Amino acid sequence: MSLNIFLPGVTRIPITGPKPFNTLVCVTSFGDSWGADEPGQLRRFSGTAVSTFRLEGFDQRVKPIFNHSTSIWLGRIGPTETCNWVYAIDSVTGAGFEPVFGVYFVTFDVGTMIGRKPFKSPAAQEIFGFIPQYGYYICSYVLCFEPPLQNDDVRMNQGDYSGIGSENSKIKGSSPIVRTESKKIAHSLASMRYS
Amino acid sequence: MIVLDANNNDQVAGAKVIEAELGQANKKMMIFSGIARPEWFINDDGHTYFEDVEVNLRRTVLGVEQFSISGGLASITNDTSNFLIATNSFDLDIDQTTQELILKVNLAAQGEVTGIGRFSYQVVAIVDTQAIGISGVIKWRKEIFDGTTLTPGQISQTFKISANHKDRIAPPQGFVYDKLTPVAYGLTTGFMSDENDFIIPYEIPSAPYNQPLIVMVEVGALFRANGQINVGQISGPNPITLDLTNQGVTNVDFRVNTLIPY
Repeated sequence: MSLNIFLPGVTRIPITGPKPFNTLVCVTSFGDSWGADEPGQLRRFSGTAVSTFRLEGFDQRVKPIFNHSTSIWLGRIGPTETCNWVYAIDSVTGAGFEPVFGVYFVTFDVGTMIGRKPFKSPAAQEIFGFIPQYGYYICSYVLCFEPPLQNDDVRMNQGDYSGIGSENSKIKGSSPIVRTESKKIAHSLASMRYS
Repeated sequence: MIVLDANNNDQVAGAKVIEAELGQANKKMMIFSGIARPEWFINDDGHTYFEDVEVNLRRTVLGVEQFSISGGLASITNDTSNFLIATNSFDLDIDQTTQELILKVNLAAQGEVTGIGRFSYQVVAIVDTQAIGISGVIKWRKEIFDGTTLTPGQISQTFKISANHKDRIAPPQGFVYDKLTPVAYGLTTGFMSDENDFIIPYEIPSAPYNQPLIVMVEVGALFRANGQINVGQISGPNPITLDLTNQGVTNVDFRVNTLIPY
């Protein structure tokens, strides 16, 4: 059975406070990392995970007021061969909204050490570009303020979004502007960046 | 048993709590996140070892109505051997003495030079909270510093308010001294003034029960006054002990002074 989900990984919960917040948003995501590039060396990285949550009412002139509680844990490790290894998520270092669209992101520190190259064949590296060494889940709760929708908003209670996120995604319904913009952000920014 | 403190960044990295009001008095949704650091290592690939970990989440509650916990491994290592590494279970409890929320985790490991350095957790709970906690005001004379130059955000950054547990330390050699450990932090809730003073109300909403607490107020660099700054408690009990019959203490007031004439 498929669920009728418009925006996967984002759940908005109306709350009464504390002021000035009126919304609690639960954001979930999954990311990959290719980890250490030199066997036997512990390498540490700072990462940024950009979500599909965009703050409604975001205005570039106003710094958003928000508070967050975020956790990241390992969802998968390997593949690797027999060796000594370390996979570590050290800490969640911060969160914020990128200043162009108001898209929510989380920053964190990770570290890895592997004993051998994940694949001996250089051809495999070339084909895949990089070999993910481990994956992690992110769950962030965000206290924020979003202007409430009006009950007579024509965008409410229309459309069928069950196809989004499935293998054969199709945009249905009668709200093309909102859905197209959200989908474009999801595709272009729902990825991991490393600095 | 490994005991960790969410207020100590060396024991729990990046611990964060947010609270949402649900429209019912003395009932809140609390969301706790962090990466706990048990740094538990073994060196045996022939047996499976188990270890219990307790994380003091440092929030005082009267009861837990509902909760769910997500979590998993965050930092693991193995040195070329068969291995088993697991977070077996997560559970939530209330410390019967202090009424603080306690996260209970069971770990398992097997392998040579194998360990769980860190695990992540996220606790979502709907809790019954104490009505008041500790509250009071911080005052200073207008001549000392013009408080109107600070934004609300700067005011909250300027005053670090904490409830502290006191331990009397008697080293084998040297003087006896008191060691203060912060167990709950306060927040400013407004800005007022009267004829002579600027006044900042504050609250410490989650101070633990059944232990003597000393409230401390530290003043940051944004408070630009001439002379050395001194903060003293001017009303209210010291120390303060909360319990189920005395859940809140008000009028724990402080005054900021300078040590040279202005």
